[in-house]
Amino acid sequence: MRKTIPPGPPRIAGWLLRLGFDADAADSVLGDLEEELATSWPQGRPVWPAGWYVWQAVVFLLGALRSRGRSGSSTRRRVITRGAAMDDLLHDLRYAARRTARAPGFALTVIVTLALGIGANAGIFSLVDTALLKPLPLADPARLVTVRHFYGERGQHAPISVPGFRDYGERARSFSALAAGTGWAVNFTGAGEPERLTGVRVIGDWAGAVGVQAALGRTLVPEDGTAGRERVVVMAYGFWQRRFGGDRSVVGSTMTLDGEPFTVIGVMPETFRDPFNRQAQLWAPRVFPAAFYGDDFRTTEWLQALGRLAPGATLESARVELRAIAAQLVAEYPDAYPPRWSLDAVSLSEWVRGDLRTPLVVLLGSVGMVLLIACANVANLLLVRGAGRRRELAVRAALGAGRARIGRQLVTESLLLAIAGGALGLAVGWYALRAFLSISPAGHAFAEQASLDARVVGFTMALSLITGLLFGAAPAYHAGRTDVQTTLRESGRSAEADRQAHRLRRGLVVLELALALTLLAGAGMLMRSFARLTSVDPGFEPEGILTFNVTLPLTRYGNDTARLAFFDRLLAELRATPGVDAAAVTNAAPFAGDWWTGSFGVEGFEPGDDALAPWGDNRMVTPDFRSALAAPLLRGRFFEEADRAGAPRVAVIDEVLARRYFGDRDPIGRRIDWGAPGASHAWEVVGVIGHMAHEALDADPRPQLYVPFHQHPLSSAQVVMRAAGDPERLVEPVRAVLRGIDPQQPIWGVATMTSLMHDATGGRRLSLTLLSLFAGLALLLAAVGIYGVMAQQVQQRTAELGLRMALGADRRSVLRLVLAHGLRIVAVGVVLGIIGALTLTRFLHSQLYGIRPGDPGTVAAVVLVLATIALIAMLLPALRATRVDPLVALRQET
Amino acid sequence: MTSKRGVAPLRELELIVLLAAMQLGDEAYPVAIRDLIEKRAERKVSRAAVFITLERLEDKGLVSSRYGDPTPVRGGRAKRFFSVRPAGVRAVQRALDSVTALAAGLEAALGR
Repeated sequence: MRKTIPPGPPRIAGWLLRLGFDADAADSVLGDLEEELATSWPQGRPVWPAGWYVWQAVVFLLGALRSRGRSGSSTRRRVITRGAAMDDLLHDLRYAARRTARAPGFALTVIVTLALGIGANAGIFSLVDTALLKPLPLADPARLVTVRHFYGERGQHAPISVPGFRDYGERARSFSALAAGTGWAVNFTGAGEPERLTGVRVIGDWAGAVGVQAALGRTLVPEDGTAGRERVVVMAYGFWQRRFGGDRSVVGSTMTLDGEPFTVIGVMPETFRDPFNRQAQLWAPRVFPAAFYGDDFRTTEWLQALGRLAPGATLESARVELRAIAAQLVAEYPDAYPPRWSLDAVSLSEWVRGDLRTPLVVLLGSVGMVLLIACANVANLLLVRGAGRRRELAVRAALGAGRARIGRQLVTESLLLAIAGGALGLAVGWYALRAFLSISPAGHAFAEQASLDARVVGFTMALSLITGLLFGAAPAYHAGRTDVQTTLRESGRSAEADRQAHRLRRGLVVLELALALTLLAGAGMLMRSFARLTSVDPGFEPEGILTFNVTLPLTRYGNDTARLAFFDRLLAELRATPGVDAAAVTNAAPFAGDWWTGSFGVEGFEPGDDALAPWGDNRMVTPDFRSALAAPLLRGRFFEEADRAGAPRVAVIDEVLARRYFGDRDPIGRRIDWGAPGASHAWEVVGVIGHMAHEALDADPRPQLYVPFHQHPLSSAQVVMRAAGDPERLVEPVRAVLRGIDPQQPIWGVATMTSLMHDATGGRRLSLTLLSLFAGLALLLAAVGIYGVMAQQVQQRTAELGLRMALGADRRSVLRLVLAHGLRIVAVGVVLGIIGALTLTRFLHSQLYGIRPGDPGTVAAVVLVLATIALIAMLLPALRATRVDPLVALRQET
Repeated sequence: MTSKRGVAPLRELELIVLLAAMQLGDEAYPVAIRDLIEKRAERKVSRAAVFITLERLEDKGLVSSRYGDPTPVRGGRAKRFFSVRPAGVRAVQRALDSVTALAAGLEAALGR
């Protein structure tokens, strides 16, 4: 039997030992430990050998520190000797620990408050780190760019075209590798449960552009993109583990995708994510037939391009070169490009992450403000507690402790509480991340990759230390200003010190109120935006709609007749299903995540020299589409059964198209030129329907052009059905119908329209939820803060109030007196808060809909809310003030 | 109270460690010393306590140390052997004398 060798000590154990012992002695200790471990191996082995070594080293080091101090100096060479500073620190720590243990309730309150604040920050920081700060999981991501078509007029970027990829690759010198990909969705069959997979099909030098080596086998090289060799596939690590159990023999084996055999040539590393589709599970080469490279396709924009900058090239030099290439192409092919068309390069991380920056930074700032408020509350607590310790500190000062020494002592106590809060905060942060993952839309903000790694832990520890210093500073400063003599003489209580403490506390509460108001204003604006957004009329009736996708493989449905036969039969059977009011087929249903856009010619509309050609959504739909979605018919008619292949080509337009390109003219009967370049046809407009929102309720409305599905059939389409009752109940019957028609045909993307629209606002809803949570927490903490200050105020002025009441003041005037003091604090806080709200909510402007940042109505509303809560918080101590018994108050020692 | 020579009396752990070292003679190194104490005196001592006590005894001039040959089982690290010096032997004698003197006459009470 082979006896395994125990591991040696980790290097850190040696470092720790050498702090307390000289090198030879430390070495002999390590030798002793290793010998002991070897003797008891493997039966008596510790659970974590490396940890055991480190622990032993720590024990040795602590023992050395303890012992050296007692016995005095020694001739040995050592890094750490227990000098005066170390003595002080250890003493401070022990003292702080003793004091904290003596007031467990107080300590617990502080630690829990801090843990909530620090933990929330840790959770959000983890998200920010993963989504924005960590480099993308690609080789040298700073050198990666995405090449885009650019329309200066609309300021919009678009994917590139197939002929474009060839031309830019030939002409550009700025890239050492250029690749492009298209989305790919296939049915994986032949190995257990059939599954729908997403992937990317690539052309060009993908391996060079991505720069990441395969974990197993190899990645795609340009030679794979030649006809006859393109049935190869690379898979993602997670997919390999899940479907193949991490079996290394998968390389070289065959996968059946959409009925075709593909050879698996490699597996990507675990941390790799495709830059354009983080959920991609497969990568395969794409070979385009020669026809796709024709000049007519120069503006068919559907390839996502990835370029790696050549050595010496920069983003700016690449952009300059691309613009020049664009100018050349426009000169060579004037009919193929619209005016003002150009090329652009955008840094990849900017492209992938740009949208996330603002919402995440807003969240981080907000949660930071909550922590500040928590610190202010803790500082207040410490100041109150400090009042009780004044005598003790005065005695220490009298015995010779300098101000700095006492201050350091207090800061050490604060740091101890803060570090405890931070450690607990890590647990809070972990739960916060889990909660965030469960409420956020799938794949949102890289949430699934966020974790409490070393960077987050480091951030949390640093934040704890800063927090401790922050809230420890106020009490330490205050303690340092205490006059020793007066305190000792006055047996522990000093009016002046009380007043100073009170001033500090007032200042802290003002800060808390200002921060809380700012957060409330931000949350309020997001709330109003969200309400406005969700009340926008989408242009159709979303309740009761079920939609799903069908993709017919070319091997079994190779021509239009076969496809139309399938869809005709599908629609007929669906309509016959109980519970189905209407069923239709379309290439792009609203909110289903896909869209087709293209340009077309409008009879009688001539774009000016600088204007763009008419352009918009293209939809191929069956006649029941309008009734399935319940969109209003404004003029003429919608499609009918008679509008089939061979019948005259007809089109329906939406009101936006009608208004923009027909103006006052009646569109009915006019012609629109549309179709594949080179095969464009004239379609006669027979009707106008209402505009339907497509991918977002707040997107600019695009003109929409409809043609009959039967006159332009597709192999991949979405089915939309209107249900008589609950659309969820139709899912099983629909699957049954499919199985009856073609058992090998899976359906995917089954969803109700309401859930799709709900998901579309997922990101906004998340920001809103979190910011509201933080604002609510801030308000609560601020209320607690002002309550505390008021209570202390009343307690301090008990004698004065008693005197007033004895002299004849009635309850109401006492109440007014007390409240006036509190209202002054609130007023200052509100003013500062309004300034904060107006300045900081400017950062929200990209997330607002229908209202301006700094919207006065919202600000006024949150001021009202804050003032009301603050008033309630003040009322309790104020009422208590009116119940003061004058005799008791006067008898009380001042 | 100091002894005649001005050296502070031995602490209990120092006495135990010296006795164990004397028992082991040339083979006295921390691991063996600790094993002997745990077996014979039937008490648990921490490795750090043994080692640091030995260093302190060396500081007081009661033991001396030398490094032996490195062995593979110790990852190529040397053993540190401790041998009791005459001053150490005398200190042990004094400590035992003190104990014996105070225990005289208590045999019955102590059940010996």
